Amino acid sequence: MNRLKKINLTISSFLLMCLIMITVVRDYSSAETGHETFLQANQAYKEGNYEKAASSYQELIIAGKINGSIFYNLGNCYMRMNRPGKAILNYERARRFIPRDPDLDFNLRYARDRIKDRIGNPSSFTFSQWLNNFNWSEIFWSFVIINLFFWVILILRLWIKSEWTFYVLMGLSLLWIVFGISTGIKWYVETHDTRGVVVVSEITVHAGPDEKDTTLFKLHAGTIVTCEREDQGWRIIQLTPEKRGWIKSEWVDQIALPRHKTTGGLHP
Amino acid sequence: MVASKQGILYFITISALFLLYSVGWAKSPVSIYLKMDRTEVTPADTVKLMVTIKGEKKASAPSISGLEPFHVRQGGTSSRFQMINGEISRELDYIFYITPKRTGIFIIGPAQVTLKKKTYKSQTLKLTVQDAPSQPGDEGAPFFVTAALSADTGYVGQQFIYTVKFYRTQDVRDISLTPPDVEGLAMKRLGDHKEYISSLQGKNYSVIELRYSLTAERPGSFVLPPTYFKMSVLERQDPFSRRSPFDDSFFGFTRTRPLSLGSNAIEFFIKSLPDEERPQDFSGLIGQFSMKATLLPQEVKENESATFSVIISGKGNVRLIPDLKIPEVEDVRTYADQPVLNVQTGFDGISGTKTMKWALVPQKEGSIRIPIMSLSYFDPNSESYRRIATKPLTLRITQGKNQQKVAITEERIAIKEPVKSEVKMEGIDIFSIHERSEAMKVRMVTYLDTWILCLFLLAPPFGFIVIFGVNRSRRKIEADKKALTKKRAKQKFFKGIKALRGPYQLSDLMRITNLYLNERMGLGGGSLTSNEAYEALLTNGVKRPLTDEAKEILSHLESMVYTGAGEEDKAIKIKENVMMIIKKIDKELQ
Repeated sequence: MNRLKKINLTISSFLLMCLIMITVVRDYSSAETGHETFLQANQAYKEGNYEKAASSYQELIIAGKINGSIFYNLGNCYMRMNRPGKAILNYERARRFIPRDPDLDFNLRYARDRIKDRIGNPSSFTFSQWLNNFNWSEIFWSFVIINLFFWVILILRLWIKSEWTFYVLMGLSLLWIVFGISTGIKWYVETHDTRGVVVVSEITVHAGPDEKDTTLFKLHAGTIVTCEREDQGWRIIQLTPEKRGWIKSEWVDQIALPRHKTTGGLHP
Repeated sequence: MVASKQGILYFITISALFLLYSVGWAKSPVSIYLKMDRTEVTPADTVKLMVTIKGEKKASAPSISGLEPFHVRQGGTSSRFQMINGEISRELDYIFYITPKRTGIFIIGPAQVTLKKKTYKSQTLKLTVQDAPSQPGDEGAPFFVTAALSADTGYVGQQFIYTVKFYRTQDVRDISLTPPDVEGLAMKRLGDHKEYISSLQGKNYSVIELRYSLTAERPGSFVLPPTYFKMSVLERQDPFSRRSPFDDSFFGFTRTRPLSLGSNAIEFFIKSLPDEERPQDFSGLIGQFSMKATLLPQEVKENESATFSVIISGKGNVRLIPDLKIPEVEDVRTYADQPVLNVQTGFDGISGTKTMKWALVPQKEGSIRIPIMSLSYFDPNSESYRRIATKPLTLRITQGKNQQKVAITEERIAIKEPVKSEVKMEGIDIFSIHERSEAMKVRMVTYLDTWILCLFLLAPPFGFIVIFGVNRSRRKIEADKKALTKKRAKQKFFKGIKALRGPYQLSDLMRITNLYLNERMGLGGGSLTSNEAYEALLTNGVKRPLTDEAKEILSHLESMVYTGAGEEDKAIKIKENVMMIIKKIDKELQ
């Protein structure tokens, strides 16, 4: 096999890999089921039937239609129903998918302005906070593409050890490291998100998993807390290191959705 | 070419004329000023009085009031023409020399001149004529220094004028001055020095006068030590003692004598400022001050602005003029401008002006009284605290077109920008739901499990490993194949030799030899010349005597093959030689 044939083989392999990936992505992206439910939910919202709209959006989520706009619409329904806790919960869930959506940003700020408890803003800039501007899909696919190019150029270097391949490899190596780290951090943040939102209007936080235990402090709907371990219908939550205690599990919903074992997807 | 040059010249001339014509309109307005070289003299002195007429290059001689107690002599006229930033400035000076007839304090001026049926008047000046003070030490000596203080008692922070005069009748050079340095006293030089002729006891002196502003920082008794002048006195040479024509000042042989002269010491007393009747807003300002206020325009529409200015000017410690604050006025927004302080250090002391401005934006129709602004200071002349205030001003406001309230900055006022209104939120609500069809799209990443996602990431490196492995094994196979061919080359060679039918098949011998060398050394194939074989052997590590020998044998074989000449015994001989050399080469290559 001469050198030209080898290069052709590499390029063909690369294109084949791209084709497979694009096909798989398109298959998943163009899923059209549940479209009617979506339209019905939108119509119900417009008619002011927010309960019906919310239940239709939830139906879609249960059916696996997990995306930012569905959560955003569901958050709007709860906002209209004057349930800021559930609204913030769904806006926060939507933010994981559409982090730069200006409508979502506005509505979330609007909802936060209406909650009773003061939530401290993060004081300093961190890399993981900056990564919050991108969703997991964007970061992952960027890394997949860079990863693909990186290995393709490494394969080419088996036969073409010229200057340009060296500099391309150096550039791709740098991008590979940056995106590799970003993907790792994002993956960790996504899979270890223990934040929860108080979904009932007022809750009392106790020193133990019993209503007879000392009341430590009170929280109101929409406040974001960190969820810790759960025990017999009670859960430890933490607002700040000084403000920590037990509440009933149903008073708080976690922003991260549990993974469904059969489909592998995220479900409420 | 000539025509174009003429065109350029024509253009330049027209432009210059246009420029001169246009700037001619921008000439400064007419004004008249009086100026004196001194304000304190003796009856024997002559004062230079100058009348400057600005804005005109021709004018009749001015008439000056208050010159009756003086002998007046005209000193001529001079004119100047300046063009700065497109503005023409013309000045005409009339010079007079006046000599007092008696002692006293005289007010000179105003000078007035009539131009185009309009009369212009100058300011007035005060001239003090007093008898000559008794001079320290050597009266009638060629050099002496005097020092004087404007007052012998005063207050902490008050400005005194310390005047030093150096009188001389002989030429001096390299004059230097050491003013006194006293702890608790701050001294600042006032302007440049003055030089004039003064007459003392019938003798004319050239005088150098310097002035300092002096301020005491604490109360108590002070003594100002003498001010010293150091100089080199030019000594006149006796014409009879001149030894050569070059012993002359022109040739630089003038002799100089160093001289140091001190003034008289001055004792004075400083008091603390009186505590009685000290105003609460007193900022430490001492001197003489005045205050005026302007309001422009005096009538505005709603939400338009008027500028209220307060100007405080005076003589003394002007840096302590405080920044005034305008009290709040109902229905008027006020925007303060940065105060501007101008300090002048003149021969008569430190003076200055502080200008404070506010933009007033009335919000309601009607009339508003602008609050009176006041300021207190200590006047050392009257030895009392004084208060100055602005006159009451009224701003009339008419109904404006634009009812919206806006903030107007100074810059906006200056360039008359249209008033812009702030965008106000009239309501607030959440944004509507997402209805577009893209809202239903689900990203694959959401669905896929981590292990599937990992496959996407691991597929390319896996592909690399596979291709790398295949490539490597292919190379190995090729290498093994070559090694096997090399290994079998010798066997093949001797098998071929055996197959030769007789000694005359030299061309076959050469073919077999070439085949052996090609295979054994992994060459590309084809026939090799003796030289090529020699080079290849050297490249493959065969040492020198052997390669030379091989070259000779192969060369011999070549000549026998291509010439066709050769006997049987020679053919046998060359065959044996080839076999022998191949054995040696094979051994060497191993």
